[in-house]
Amino acid sequence: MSHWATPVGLVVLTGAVIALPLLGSLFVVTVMILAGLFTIVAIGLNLLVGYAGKISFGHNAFMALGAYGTGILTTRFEWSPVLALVAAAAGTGLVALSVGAPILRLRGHYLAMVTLALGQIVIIVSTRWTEVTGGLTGVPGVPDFTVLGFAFDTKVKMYYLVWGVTLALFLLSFRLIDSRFGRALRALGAHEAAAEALGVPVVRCRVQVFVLSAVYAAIAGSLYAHFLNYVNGTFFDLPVMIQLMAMLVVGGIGTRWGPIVGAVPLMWVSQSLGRYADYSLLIFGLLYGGALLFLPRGMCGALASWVERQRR
Amino acid sequence: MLNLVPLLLANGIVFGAIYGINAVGFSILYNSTNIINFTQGEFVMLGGMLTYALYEQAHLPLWLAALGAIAATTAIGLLVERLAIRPLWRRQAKDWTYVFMLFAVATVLPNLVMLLISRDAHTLPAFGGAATLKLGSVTFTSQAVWVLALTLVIAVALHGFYNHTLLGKAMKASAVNARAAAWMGIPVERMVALSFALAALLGALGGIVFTPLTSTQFNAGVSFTLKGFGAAIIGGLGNITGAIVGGLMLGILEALSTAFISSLYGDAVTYAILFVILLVRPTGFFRPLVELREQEI
Repeated sequence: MSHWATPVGLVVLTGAVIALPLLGSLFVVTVMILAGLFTIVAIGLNLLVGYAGKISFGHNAFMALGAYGTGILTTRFEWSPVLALVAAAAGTGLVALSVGAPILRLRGHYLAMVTLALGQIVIIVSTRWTEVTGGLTGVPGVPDFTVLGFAFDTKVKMYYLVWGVTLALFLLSFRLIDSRFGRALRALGAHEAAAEALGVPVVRCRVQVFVLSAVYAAIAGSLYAHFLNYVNGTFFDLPVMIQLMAMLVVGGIGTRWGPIVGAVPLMWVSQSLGRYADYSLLIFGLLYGGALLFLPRGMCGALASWVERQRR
Repeated sequence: MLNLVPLLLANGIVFGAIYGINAVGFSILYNSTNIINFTQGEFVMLGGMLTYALYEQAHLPLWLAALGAIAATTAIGLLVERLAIRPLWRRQAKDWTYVFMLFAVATVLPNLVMLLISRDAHTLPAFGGAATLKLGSVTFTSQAVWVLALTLVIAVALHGFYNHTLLGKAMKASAVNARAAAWMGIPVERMVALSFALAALLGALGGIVFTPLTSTQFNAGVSFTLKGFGAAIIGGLGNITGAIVGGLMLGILEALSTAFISSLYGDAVTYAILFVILLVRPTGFFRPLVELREQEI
């Protein structure tokens, strides 16, 4: 695509994000908040899976850690939301670092299975460790997000906060992809041994991207807690991971715009099912498997190759 | 507490035998495709839930329901290979694509079961017909004897199959080097299909003999997948005897840890064991059937 595509796309996206609440109903705003939160996690996962070629089925756990961090710090210790968010994200990053450093030696299938186990451990413990997490009751009474006395106390304000963060993290991912670090990641994903031979610090890079993606997930989890004013580990169980994977694959794994292109429409699908909500995961599974078969690079990849063909 | 140990060991062995059967399913598929089957646990769940559906909802006799469930699960295994795996195989897709695809299948299958059969946990009546087994202070129920006997039969049969039949050797060869195997005239794709069928069949068998001991539910698959994988890793992925021994070890560890550490966290303790083993000994404790190179792990 031409070098105009990215800035134009970003301007259009920002305009759409700003305009949407002026046009849409409260339902639209709510769905888009959720879409924004999932986009944040998907952006981080895309860097990890799409660029560095490492699979994680455990990022739902990092969302949960972020949410619980914020929930517990703001309610029990009455920290300010900003401080709690930073602490929750940093704490989750530390967990990811201590877990990631040893497990990222493992490749492909093994890593997928380990992260799946890790995610399950976090969810099980979070719903049963009553003294700390409140068990199945969860953490109620999480305050609205406030910065310097300004409270994000309505859905629309929350929408602007979430999408402000989403756009910032989206831009950051663009910067990263084009940086030396991004090139290193792509080299890593394409051929690890070759990357290493060319001087890419392989181990450090993949731990860094794992931690970064965990922090993205924690930030989303943290904001989720403020949005619902409540935290419960069951909200972050395996279905969340399935939705994230479906968004990533349908949008286009390893493409810049993939996370947002996948997350927004799929969130609409899952929130519009109404009394067919039971079919949600089945639909997600089918979309996700179908995309792997018929659109291996997702909607973004398909669009890119269509544009390529038109130009020739 | 210590006088409970024999009972805990016995329980661990029975549950571990199921993990072992499941681990054998992992190993079979790994042996012919190098794929780690994220749907293995779903086959176990399907075995239990389909038998329930045929027995309670379609009112077939138990043995017929069990046979029907085995046949149906095997057919589903073949379908998964045909619809989801073979297209990727032909496209020579990247490794991670298989993992994602099987994860997608592991999403679709339980949700179909939930929508079409039932969302509740169900159990099956014990089979009966087998004697109880008394060893010292511990009595194995007749269902537990079924589990142990089945495990033994599977281990012996597969050992013979892989080492003494042409088909078994062909399946092994296609795992070592699919291209070379194809040059030798082995129909690799058919071997892959066959291993999916065999893995599904074993999963279903395990699920059916296991369900009367506790119960099963549409979402039970993930836990079976993780535990079966853990057992397969302990046993050296691809090693059939190792898989069974790995299953027994995991079952015993699980029984002891729930009794002596905490029962509150249930499966989390077992997953933590799996986690530690993968960190410390990703190659397991037995020689894998196909030697792994360090970088392939």
